[in-house]
Amino acid sequence: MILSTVVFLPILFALIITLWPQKSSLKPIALGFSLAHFIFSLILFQSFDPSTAQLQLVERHMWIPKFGIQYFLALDGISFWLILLTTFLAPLILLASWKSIEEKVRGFLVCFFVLQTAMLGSFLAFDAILFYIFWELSLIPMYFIVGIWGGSRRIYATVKFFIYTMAGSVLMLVAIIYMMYLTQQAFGQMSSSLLDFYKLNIPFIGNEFFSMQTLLFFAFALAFAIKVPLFPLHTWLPDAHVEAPTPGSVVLAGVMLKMGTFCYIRWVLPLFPEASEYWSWIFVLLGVIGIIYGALVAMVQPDIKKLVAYSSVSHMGYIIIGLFAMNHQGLQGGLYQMLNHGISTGALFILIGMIYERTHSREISQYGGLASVLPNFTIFFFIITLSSIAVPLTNGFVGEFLILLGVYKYSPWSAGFAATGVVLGAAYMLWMFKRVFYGEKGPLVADEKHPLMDLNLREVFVLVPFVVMVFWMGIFPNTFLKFSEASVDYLVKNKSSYQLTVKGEQ
Amino acid sequence: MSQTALISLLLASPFIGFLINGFRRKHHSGNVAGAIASVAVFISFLCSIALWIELQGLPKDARSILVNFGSWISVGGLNVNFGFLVDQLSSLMILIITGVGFLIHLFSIGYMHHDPGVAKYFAYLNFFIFNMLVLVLGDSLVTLFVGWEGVGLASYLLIGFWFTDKDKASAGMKAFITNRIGDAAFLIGMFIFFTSFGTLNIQELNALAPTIAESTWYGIITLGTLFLFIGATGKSAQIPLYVWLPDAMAGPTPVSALIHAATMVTAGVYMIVRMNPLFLAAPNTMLVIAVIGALTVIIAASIGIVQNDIKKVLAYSTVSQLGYMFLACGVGAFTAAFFHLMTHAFFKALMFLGSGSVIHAMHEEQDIRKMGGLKKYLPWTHLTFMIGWLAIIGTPGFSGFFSKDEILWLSWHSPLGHWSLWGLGVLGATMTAFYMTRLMALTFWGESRVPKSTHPHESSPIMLIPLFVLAALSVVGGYVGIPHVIGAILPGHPENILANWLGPIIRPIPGITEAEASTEWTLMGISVGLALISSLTAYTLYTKKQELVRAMTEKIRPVYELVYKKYLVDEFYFGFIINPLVRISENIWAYIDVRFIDKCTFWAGDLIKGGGSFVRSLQNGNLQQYAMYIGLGLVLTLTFVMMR
Amino acid sequence: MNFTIDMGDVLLISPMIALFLSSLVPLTIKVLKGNAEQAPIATLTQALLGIIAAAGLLVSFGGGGNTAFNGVLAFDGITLTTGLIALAAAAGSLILMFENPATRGVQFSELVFLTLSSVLGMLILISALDLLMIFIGLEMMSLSLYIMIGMSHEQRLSKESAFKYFVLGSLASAIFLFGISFIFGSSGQTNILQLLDTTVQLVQTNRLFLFGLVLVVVGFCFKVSVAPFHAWTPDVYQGAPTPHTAFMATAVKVVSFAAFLRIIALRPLVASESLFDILQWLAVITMLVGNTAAILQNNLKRMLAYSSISHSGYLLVGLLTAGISDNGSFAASSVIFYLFAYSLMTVGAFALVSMMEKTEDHTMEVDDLAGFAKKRPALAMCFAIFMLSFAGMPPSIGFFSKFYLFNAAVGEGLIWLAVWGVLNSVISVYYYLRPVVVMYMKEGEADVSHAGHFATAFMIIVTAALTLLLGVVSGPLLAWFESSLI
Repeated sequence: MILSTVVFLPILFALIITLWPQKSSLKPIALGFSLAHFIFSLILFQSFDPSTAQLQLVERHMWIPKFGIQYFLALDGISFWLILLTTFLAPLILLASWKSIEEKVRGFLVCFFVLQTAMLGSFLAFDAILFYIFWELSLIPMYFIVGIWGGSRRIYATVKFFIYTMAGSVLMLVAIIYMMYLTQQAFGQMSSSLLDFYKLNIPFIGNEFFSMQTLLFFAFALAFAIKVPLFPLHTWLPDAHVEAPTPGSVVLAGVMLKMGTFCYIRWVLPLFPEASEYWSWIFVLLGVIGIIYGALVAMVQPDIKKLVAYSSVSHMGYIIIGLFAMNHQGLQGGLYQMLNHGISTGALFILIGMIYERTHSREISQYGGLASVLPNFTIFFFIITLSSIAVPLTNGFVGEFLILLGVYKYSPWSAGFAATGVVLGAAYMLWMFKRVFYGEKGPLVADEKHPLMDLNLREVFVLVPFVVMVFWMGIFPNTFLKFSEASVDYLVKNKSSYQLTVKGEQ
Repeated sequence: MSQTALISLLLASPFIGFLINGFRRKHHSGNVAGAIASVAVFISFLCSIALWIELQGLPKDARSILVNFGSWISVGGLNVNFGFLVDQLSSLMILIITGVGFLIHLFSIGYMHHDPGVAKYFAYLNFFIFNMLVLVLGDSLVTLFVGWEGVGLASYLLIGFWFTDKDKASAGMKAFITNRIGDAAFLIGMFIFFTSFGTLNIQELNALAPTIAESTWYGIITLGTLFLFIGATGKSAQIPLYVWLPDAMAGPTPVSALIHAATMVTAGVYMIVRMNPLFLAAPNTMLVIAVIGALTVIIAASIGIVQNDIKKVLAYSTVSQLGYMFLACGVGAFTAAFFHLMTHAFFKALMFLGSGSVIHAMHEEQDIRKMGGLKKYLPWTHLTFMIGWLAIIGTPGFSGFFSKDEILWLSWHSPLGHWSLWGLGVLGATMTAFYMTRLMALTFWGESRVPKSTHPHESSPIMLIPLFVLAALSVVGGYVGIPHVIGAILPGHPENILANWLGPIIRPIPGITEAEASTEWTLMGISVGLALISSLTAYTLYTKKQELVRAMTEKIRPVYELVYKKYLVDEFYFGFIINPLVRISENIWAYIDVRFIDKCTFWAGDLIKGGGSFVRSLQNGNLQQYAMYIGLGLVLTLTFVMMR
Repeated sequence: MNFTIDMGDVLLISPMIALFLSSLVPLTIKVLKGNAEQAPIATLTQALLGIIAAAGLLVSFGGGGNTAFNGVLAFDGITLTTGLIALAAAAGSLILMFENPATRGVQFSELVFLTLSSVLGMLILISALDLLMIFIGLEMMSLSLYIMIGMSHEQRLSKESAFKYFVLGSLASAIFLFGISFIFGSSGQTNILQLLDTTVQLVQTNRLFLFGLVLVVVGFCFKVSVAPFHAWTPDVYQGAPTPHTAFMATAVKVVSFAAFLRIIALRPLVASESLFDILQWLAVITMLVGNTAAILQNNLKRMLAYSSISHSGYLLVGLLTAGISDNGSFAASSVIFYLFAYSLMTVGAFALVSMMEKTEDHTMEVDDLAGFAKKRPALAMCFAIFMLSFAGMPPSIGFFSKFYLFNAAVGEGLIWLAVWGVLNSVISVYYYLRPVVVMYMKEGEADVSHAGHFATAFMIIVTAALTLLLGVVSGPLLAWFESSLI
């Protein structure tokens, strides 16, 4: 029951909050809930055994027998940290949005908790239909969060977000249905369990595009590529980020994008090994393009938030090439980079939200000289910047190093081009940092009438955990890597015959 | 005290100093902060000495202390430890760093005491020392890279220390990003070695380095070492990535002395010396290194001749001196390279601090045309500065002479060398003598051009003591590496102590022959002679014949302008790389993202809407028309079904 | 042939009898009271009681698969399931009529009478095994409907739409009847049971039979508004009083599809490749027409009308699947499940429209919903649920119905239709989101002052809850449909 509790606790919270009598105490209540949720999720540490690639804490019940659709949740090394990342971010996000969400608080909290459930579910689901339900469900609350509490062009952004993502996933639904019939042919009984999908060996004809495995592969890959987002399907992201309220951006960058990359490991690579191998070049190519393209475009953004959004495109590119290198370092690095991106980009959005609350502007040109006005804020921002440009002993370095190393094994040239991202990343971040924090005081900063206040205690409480994580993950990466080691090792060793078994079951 | 404890303390104490000053930066005065920082570094210095003594105790060919603080990253085949290796090389290096570093900390107390951000300054300084130590001691390329980027970060922070000035901030950014280019190459180098050797541990790599040289250009070792060297050009300001160093002078002068003269910029040289077996195995790389080094020597020197900012002159001289070190590496004279690294650390740190003292005295004035005749105002500064000058122009007996001479000699004599390399080296030496004398003349000698408003004053003792110590080192520093020929004629035939000390870890140059003394003497004579002549010319020109100089510059105005503008390299980089890149980025954003991808989406939407409006147009509420649709539909269906 | 009526037959048709009687009750009372309306609530209660009685009887006697009157009427799974759905939909619509300004008050008892007799026609239609019976059912259903629409208190649009519906409907009926005559002429049969085993080779050999069959199919295509026979739908749906629109969009569509299913069950699609192809194309066109046209609509009812057209397209896919699949029960049951889900959402959606209508001639624009979320959060949420469920977002019942439908399609190899379907559902998202956007994200003052329709509101909430929850437990439901069909 542990996993079900982890997944559905937020829904319960949402219900309580809907019925909660007085409005004033909603935020503290919600914060308490999310903290409780996080603490509860820590149970996973002692109930999870990192030494094996097998599925653990399995819960499977037949749901719709006719189609073999099951309620099937399970945990393994690949999803382990993403679960904790999700639960870890929640209280920080709520605390960070204390001031930024003022009206319709109840509705916001409900959306937020439903979103939590959807994301956790799609990480843990091992049944295609169950997964699809969580996957699609995650759209709705995010759609409302952006659309209701967002900025001026929120409606455009949110509808774009919704339709883009949905357009990607419907084809996946058809593919899933098709694979269910494949299981029926193979095992007599239809099933949508991922384990049965793994057992299928789907015929693959290399150069033939309209061959079964290739088509299925692309049906899935497209859905996830839009979510990641992979160049050139990324244009929904900057709009969504810019219009979303701070908590929205943080969830979006922190966890939601990871759903895409995560599913490449969970679904695409093991299900369609030959196709992934054969077509990997496309994804590495697009990933590399994404890295450079995102960095270049980020460099010239006039809006801080948009800059960070494009930097996300760049960072997600790293993850993709790491995964499709399909070797040890690549995959581990990809997984690690997911956490890094969650931490550092999440923190960046929170920081931007904090400064936005003070000045109500994100125009870089309006700033300048912040460092002398808000020293503490500057220090935090700088540390996160360092982690975002992957300076050693911050989390970013470990991920990027492993990814590039893995990609170098896959193809030296791609690694070479990807490495330019290391330079460009430093370029756009530091240039932004210079324009915002250094130099003479800009119009917003110099304004004598209402001087800017440095971080208050609440904000420090929000930021310190991020900084701790940045260094912890940078200095003791093994504490994290060892949880995914077994699973990744298994995936690398039996790419083509990937068969997950349930722990303690023959 | 155990070795582990020693190394831990060595690394910890500057870091702790950094933390204290960083967190209590508002709560205590500048002097306290300075004291904390200096003490921290001094402790490290003591540890370094202790470690050095420990090494003495070990047998000659097993002089290495390896301390492993546990695994850092271990994924699949990759296994990186927090391992720190003290051997003959790194032990000396940490001595230099902590020693010179300590002196510069002392100097800073005096130099920075009036600055509001002094505690932050010392925090950064300690942070730098820590990272530099990590760089030097790291037992694997990755650990080395940690320090490598760390010092880059420290220098970014210190260059942009007065960040309210936009240009200073930009200079810091420029330094970091230029270094990042090198670092990216460095990463690639690591990947090449890891994929081919399966390890990144420096000792293992050196052990695995084949003794048979690799002749091809595409060989693993050649490529790997080349990429590492590109990294070095970034860190050590060689062509083509040297452009950041002159701008780095935006930082406080002691910083320039510590980071941009004595220690950080020599990291590239250090890295190559540490990996010397690998580099020796790739003669093509060695050739590239030697050529790049030699070119850097003269280009930087030539720019140095025409600069008017005292720190800029020193900066370019640093670049060209680093060029010598790379030249030495290139010809396989790793000992000489390190020797010059050491002596240069002494006299260049000395001169930078000296310039700091001058600037301090002149109230932040850096233009040497507004100085002159400072000798009588700043006797001690002048004296020490002059020692540095004698050392750098290679006056026999001073430290610079020994190291530079050994480099020149080997660049001629080594099988990897060539007479043209020697020629460039000597040319560089001549230029060095010229612009350094010019600097002396314009700053200290001749008639004073100091504006009446400023009243130069000698610096406080706490700033002078470091000068004295460094001056002494600049004199005696050379005697650890007395060349064989000179040793032969001196009483007691002193050995080349440094060569013996480093012997076990430096691979000898393959196929080097015993040289006859006569050639060596002649070459030595030539270089010294030329240096002497050019410095005399410079002296006369810049003390007595100023107008002649002006006349000459007028004659060669275009050339002068070109050189004065640093051969327009910065302009080139900006005009042909950076600005185009920015413009391209703006365009791809505007065209690909907004105009193309989004447009496609909208276009699809419009298509659908178009279909909708077509349907709508059919839906005009006209009954007959509806009936007609039904009729048509019926007829079509029937025909379709019945005709087939 | 000699007619023998035995008790069994009477029991079987007892639901119809119940309906007929209860439809008379309000009228009789009105007559007795000297042509004075009794309290509408009483009328409503009587009607609902009648419906409930009919439903009860249907459950208890129908569904056994036995036939009445020498195989003229059949009471099998289709009858049972679709019958219940239709009855429920009718009940819902009645509640709307009770409170909607265009239908409440005067002549309510006549309205109820007509509604119930229309439902009676429906029951005949879905249980009919004889083509002529089907025709009778259709006509009985439609004729009462024409009058119902015409009776609206609204003076212009409703009359126009009633007239349109009447004319075009008669045209369709004519085509249908013409088809029957051809079938009878060529095969000497009008009874589906007899046709069941002869159809296939008749279609292949006998052109006239095929001709007639196509006419019949086209007749149904009109009833379920498949493009290009859909043109009447938007106008009539918009013009008719909202409760009637709900009634048409749900009950009428459900039973028409049920009868259509019976025709398809003759497996003509297996026999005639070209008929199968043309119907596929019609499905494709229908989805596209419905969705693209809906995008541009500002009138809420008109938008829903187009959306119902697109749903006919999806349903047609299911119908085709049922037509070619060897174990037809799953495909058929998926169709019926879709009908069920669709009716649920549609009744709910129209209910909200109906309660937002101030006066009988007030036409509801999408933008009128601006700020509705602030005024009536609960109802706004319900409407959002309907819209998202229409769009097929999990975990609502809308998702599962589409899933089953396309699952069946893929199972029969109609993958391209499934792909087309899901792509269309993406298009549909655009206009289904619009009301949600307006309700939640646009500032505005939605006028809900008049909307005191408690029964309607209650119904909205119930349907919304079912829409949300039934999806998760849809497995057993589908299983029940399927089992009842065998």
